[in-house]
Amino acid sequence: MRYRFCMFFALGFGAMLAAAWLGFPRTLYRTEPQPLDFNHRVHKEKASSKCADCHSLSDNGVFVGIPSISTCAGCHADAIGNTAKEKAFVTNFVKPGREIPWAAYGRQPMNVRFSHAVHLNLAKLSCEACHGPHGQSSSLAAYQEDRISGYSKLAMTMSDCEDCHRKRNVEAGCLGCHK
Amino acid sequence: MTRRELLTLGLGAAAAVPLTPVPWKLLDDSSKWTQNWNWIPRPPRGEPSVKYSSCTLCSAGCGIAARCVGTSVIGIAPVADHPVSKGVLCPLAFGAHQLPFHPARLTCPLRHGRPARIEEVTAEIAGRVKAGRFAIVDERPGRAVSEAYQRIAAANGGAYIAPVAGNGLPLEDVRTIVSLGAPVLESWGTPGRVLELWGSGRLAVVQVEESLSKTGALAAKSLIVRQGSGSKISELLAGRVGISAASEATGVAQEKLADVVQFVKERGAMISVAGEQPQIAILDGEIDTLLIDHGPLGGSLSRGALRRGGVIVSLSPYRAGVAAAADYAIPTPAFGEALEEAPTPWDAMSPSYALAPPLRGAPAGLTTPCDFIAKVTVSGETQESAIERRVERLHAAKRGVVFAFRDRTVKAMSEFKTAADLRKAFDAGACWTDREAKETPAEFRGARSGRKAIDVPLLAMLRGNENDS
Repeated sequence: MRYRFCMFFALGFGAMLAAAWLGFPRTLYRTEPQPLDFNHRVHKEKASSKCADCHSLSDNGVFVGIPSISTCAGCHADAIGNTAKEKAFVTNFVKPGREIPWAAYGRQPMNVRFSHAVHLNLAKLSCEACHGPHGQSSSLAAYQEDRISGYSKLAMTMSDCEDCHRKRNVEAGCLGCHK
Repeated sequence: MTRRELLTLGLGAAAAVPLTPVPWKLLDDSSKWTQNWNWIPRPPRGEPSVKYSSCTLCSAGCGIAARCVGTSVIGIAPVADHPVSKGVLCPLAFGAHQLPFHPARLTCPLRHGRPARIEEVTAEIAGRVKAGRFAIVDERPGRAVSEAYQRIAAANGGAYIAPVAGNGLPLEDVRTIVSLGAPVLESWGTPGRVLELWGSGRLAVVQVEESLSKTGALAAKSLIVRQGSGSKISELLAGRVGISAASEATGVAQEKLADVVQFVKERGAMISVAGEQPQIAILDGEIDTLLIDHGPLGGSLSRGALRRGGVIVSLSPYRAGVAAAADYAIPTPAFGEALEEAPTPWDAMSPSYALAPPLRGAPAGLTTPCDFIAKVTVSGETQESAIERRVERLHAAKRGVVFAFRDRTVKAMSEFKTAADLRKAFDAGACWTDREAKETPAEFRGARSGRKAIDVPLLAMLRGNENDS
């Protein structure tokens, strides 16, 4: 009797753990491919681009984020190479001047502000410190959005910020990040 | 499987729940979900750009850099090195881009508080203007448009009424300001100039008021006095009354008053300023139609003595103050929705002038106060022609320098080959100043104005003839 109780208890316990750890994330996040396949590695190695060539800070210190199509048009006014994807990109976006509807991995909630200028220029952090080897990737990961909160799975969380600030002994207070 | 086994299975599953991410993630996500209701307006996403303009909420005319995404303004910052505002903005200017969305925004013309068609009210007002005597009340003198109003009034037998323009305050020579309730360190004079002097320690503030304000909290000396007794402190400092009499009148301890007297004496170079709003000149009571240009902040006029058969036409972006009770309320562009002007601040010692190019489009069908007044008075004046005239005059005078907001460069007026070049610079965000001028021409002088939120009575008090009231 006791053996059967323990067995069913363990079975329920294990089934819940497995379902929650393996199945729950798959259910919670909606996966969406990016509108274009972008190869950071090619741009870095063949075009000798640096992060700041496209993801730059404007004159007044505002981070421009994902570049507009006009930046792409600087090099891709006409198709480079003969691939179908490149031709489709030029035809569908560059020529008509249509912005690419990228899904941004790191977009923060409206009640948060983050200054790239402070972290790059003052803290002297490299892009990789927060974004990892994203600049070396040869394809874009699918965008995963939390079905409930609507935020990206890869967006930095408050604990990420707190950990880094704690390590570097930098105080930021609530209003340092929250509007 | 028996019922008991099924329950045991459920019990095991329930026991595992706290060890899974499910409850914690759901808790976290639901808190975020409640912060992001889908009806909450959000600024658009996109590549930000910066538009330069000038704040026109008061006569200080501070330079602003508006951060925009597409056609939306999402933030306002000061312009560093601006010759007038010195890279400073007041709190209202920082949030000025939100003013067009104020719930009191006038969305259509009102006739006696009821919606009306713009064509009908324009025709009615034009008929009244033609039939009787009219006056134009300009709450923001010193603009090119103000000159246009004067020309319209003169050509049509009307009157032009404006608050008394400022002659400037030599604050650089002042060591102590004794403020009788004036918000000196919040929104008084040109904030950049005042705060620079105060921040460097060259200017000290003695705040006298009935309840503690932010200025009082920051002032070197703060006196909380009995209602209506603030002037006794001025009299005490001028030596007209003694400490004991002042103490009795104000309710402030004699030791504290003695300390303030000593403080002011040691610092010297004192001026006393009061916090009351400016007043517009008296009306003679025989005006049939009063056309009031409140400006982009709206205004608040006490109509008291105006009810003598005449009608009030309030040109305001908001249904507040007089516009809420006017016979006709005509909606006008709010802050940043139309071309505006920034004349010389009332406290400035030398002339300045800037244009405030629009930051966003105005709702369809709105006209500027000047263009509306020109229409009902059947005048050929327009805001654009008035501004053009002034820019041409500035260019012809070849005086002063022009500070460009974008690259923060200063060019002599002589470097602008044509008036069109100067206008182009103004439209991109620039400010003209003439530091060498001994005085500010009357037509450039702005009037002191309040800059509180539109739902607070401010700006000006329109008084009837005191003998009549």
